[in-house]
This record gives sequence, C-alpha cells and structure tokens, in this order.
Amino acid sequence: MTDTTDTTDATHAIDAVNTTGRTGSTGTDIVYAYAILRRTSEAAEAVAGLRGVAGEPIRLLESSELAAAVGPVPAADFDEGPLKAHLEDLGWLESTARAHHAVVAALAGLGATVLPLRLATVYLDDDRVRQTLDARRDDFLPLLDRLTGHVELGVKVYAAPDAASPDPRPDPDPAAVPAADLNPGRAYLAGRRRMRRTAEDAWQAAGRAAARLTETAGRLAVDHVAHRPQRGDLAGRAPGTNVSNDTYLVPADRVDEFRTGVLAAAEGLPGVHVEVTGPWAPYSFALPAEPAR
Amino acid sequence: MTVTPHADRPVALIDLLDRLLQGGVVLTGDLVLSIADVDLVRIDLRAVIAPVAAAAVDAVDAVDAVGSVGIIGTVHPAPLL
Repeated sequence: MTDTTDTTDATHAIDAVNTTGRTGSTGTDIVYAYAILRRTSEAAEAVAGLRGVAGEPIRLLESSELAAAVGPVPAADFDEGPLKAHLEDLGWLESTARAHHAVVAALAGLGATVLPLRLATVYLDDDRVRQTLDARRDDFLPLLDRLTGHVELGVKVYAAPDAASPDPRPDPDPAAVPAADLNPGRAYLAGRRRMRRTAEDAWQAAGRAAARLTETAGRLAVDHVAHRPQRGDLAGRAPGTNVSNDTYLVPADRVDEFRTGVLAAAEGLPGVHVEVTGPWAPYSFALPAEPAR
Repeated sequence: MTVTPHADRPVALIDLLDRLLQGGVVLTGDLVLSIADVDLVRIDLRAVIAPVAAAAVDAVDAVDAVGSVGIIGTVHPAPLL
C-alpha cells in the first residue's frame, strides 16, 4: 500500500518532528488516540518520529495482538470542556483534523493496516485505552483483516449547468426560434426556457452519471458508503452542485483500474463533473457495530 | 464531462471532515467527550454546512428548538453513521 497512500500528509507528520513540541511543559496530559493497528515490530517503527495534534510524539500502546497509536496532549486543551469549546472553532478544527490525518496517513503510508479513530478520541490515561483494545478485540481483529490490502477512494459527482457547452442539438421547440424574430419579452422568456432546459439536462445527466458510476464502481470495489452531498462554504469552489458524495473500499492493486473505470463511465455527459479523491486510509469503513451500551 | 484525475494536491478540508466526523472507529467508555453524540451535530452544522445558508440557519434553529440528533435527518439525506 506504500505506493498508493497519500504521502504528502505523511511527510508533514514526519517534518513536524523538527518543530518544538508544545506538550509536557506544564499541566496534566491526557491521551489522544489516532488509530488501531496490529501489534507488529513494523508498527512500532512506523510511529517513531511522528508528531500529533499537539506536536506531541506518537507512541504505541500495546495489548495482546493489538496496538493503539496515541500521544499525550494537554488536558487544558483536550479535556471535555476545552475540547467542546475548541470544536466550535473552525481554525482549531481544521488544524486538529489535518494533524490527526497526518498521523493516520503516515502509518498507512508505511504499510500498516490501520483502523483510523474518529476525530478527538481522547482518554484520561493509557490504561483506559488498553481496556478498550481488550474489550473490542473481537471487533477490531476481523476488521483489520478485512481492510488489509485495501484503500478508500472517494467519488463525487457534480451537476454543473454553467459548465455545459452550448446545446449543439437543433431545438425542436418553436418557442426557440431565433431571438431576432421575437419581441424582447418573448426573446427573454425563450432564453429563460433554454437556460432552464440546460440546467435540467445537467441535473438529469448528473443523475444518470451517478447511477452509472455507482454500478461501475460497485463492480470494482468491495464496499461502499454514501456520505451526504457537500454543501456550503466549506465545499469551496466546487465545480457545480454536488449530487453524490460516495466512498468505496477498493483493493490497493485496483486503484488505477477503479479511477479509470469510474471516469470513463461518466464520459460524454455535458454539465457533469466527476472528482475522485484518495487513496485514503479506510476511514469510512472502520465502523464495527458498537456493543450494546 | 470534465474530470479531475488523481491530483497531487492538499486534501480538501471538507473531504477530511466527511471522514473524520462521520467515519473512523467510534469508541465509547471512558472518553473525555464523545464526538459521536450531540457535538457531531453542532460541528456538522456550523462547519460543514454554510453558517450563513438559509437551510443551515433553519436547521440550527430546529436543532436548538428540538435539541435532538434525529432532526438532522431532515438536513442530511445520508445517514450520519
């Protein structure tokens, strides 16, 4: 998996070694957990030199066959109250999410199969992490087996009416005769109809693309999760309206085939934009059923 | 169709948050704070959905009024977990 996993973020985590750690000077530390992996000598080597969300050195907590990649973080920032407050701050959320991801991506990039943990998984001490490893052992080991040799790839489909090239088809609609023949009001309405048709075409094309992509991707992937479509400011300069935001668990040796096949399935559809992201560590597939509480 | 092939560019925050807030192993027990519970709702609404968008404002109002995770089903077509 080394060659296919995001190495950019892995590099950041390693670079961070040279920065000054922010922990350990004052106050109490608690334990931030990043990922669960098999207890191997490779895993122990993989964490060496990594730094986490508070610039802290990452280490492994081990218990029987499992290990958790963890780091000490200041309680002043990560205990319940301050954590809750920080999570409201988009800047803090972003830097924490990126640092969390950098650790996970570094471990995956070094060839370890990882179960990434959800953002801000924080325990009061090491023993509680070990207890969790023991308690969930029968969930985690089969999940690690299932994810070994697989990566996650995201597929987003956008409807982009504005990006559609002008409709090349002859327009059978008599209302769409050249505007010169119409009075300004009728020309305006005819123009509006054309725009609306273009938008509707793009939506329908995007819907068809999404269906074809799901079928093609489903053949090449072993599992599939639908995230909700992306909206709002954080979606940024999206190439249209996001109509589907799916993610697939794909054998690492089929990544190129998957990407090519998915993009080919959407070819020739005007007003449709497809984006493939990843490979990711299998975040969306690291969800064993919770034991009854 | 336009495509974005596998690009060597930084991971988009929104793609990351999709995975870190909705994916990832959810542990319970002695956590200091379970992000899987009510806080996920708040983070999703304030960060992932545009704070100024009318839909989000309505959703925040609805959540504040109802105080329930279930209301998010009207905002998110896909299941949260």
